[in-house]
Amino acid sequence: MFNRKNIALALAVVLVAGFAIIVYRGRPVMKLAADQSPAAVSAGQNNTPAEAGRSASAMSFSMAQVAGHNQPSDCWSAINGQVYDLTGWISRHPGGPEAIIGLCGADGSAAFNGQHGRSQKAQAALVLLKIGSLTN
Amino acid sequence: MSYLSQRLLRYGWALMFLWFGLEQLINPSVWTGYLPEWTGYLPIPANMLVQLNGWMEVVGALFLLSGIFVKITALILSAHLFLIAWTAGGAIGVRDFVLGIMGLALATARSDPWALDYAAKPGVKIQTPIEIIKKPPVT
Repeated sequence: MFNRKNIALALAVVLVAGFAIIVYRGRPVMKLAADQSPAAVSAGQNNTPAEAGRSASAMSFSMAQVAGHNQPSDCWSAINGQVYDLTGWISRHPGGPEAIIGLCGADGSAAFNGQHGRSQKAQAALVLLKIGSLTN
Repeated sequence: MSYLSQRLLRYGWALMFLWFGLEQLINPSVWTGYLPEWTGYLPIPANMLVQLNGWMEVVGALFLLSGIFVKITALILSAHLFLIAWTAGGAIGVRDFVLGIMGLALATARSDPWALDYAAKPGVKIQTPIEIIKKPPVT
């Protein structure tokens, strides 16, 4: 029973099972969609009590409010007139976390449009992160 | 003839991959900076890519520790290191290139009696570590 081939087969199964577990736990956009639903956002700790209870599309933020969320653990950014919560996206960004951390608390329009302006996939991922619009 | 060099190479290399693999699984964000740029175009998040790589290294280390299909495992992991050396460059590239050469040495070395590959040879009787200590195998 404990011959070389059986042990190798068991390790191969362990390898594939490990891959499946890692992919399932880190599944990106689908999980992000669930995390960023309006109900989840309004109940989320990133929102102030005054902002809680309103739907994401109706909420407005000033640039000063966005600037207050400038840490990797609490990361907002204004992009093209809309406000996005990028906290959960930092570790999932395909290009690495550094590119997102630099946008925390700031206007990321130039950086985003320059890198992803023509990417439908990036635009679709960004929509899931929206929490409101930017007011002047 | 002593099999000490083969054992040192196999276990040392396995421990190296085990440590780096576990580090990538536990702290993937620390290692995302080492990913090459072309991985940014893959539909796989950086952290997930690092964890998948780490898991592959951990399982490779388990193959080496148990001495199963050591030659094939060493060749695959050597190719992996050569790829890292080529993309990383600099001092890290030199280090990983040399580690890859060590993997080729392991792949071309004879299997030692503690490896299951050795026991799989025709006419070879498995010796437990105690038997080996009492009566080392005749080469």
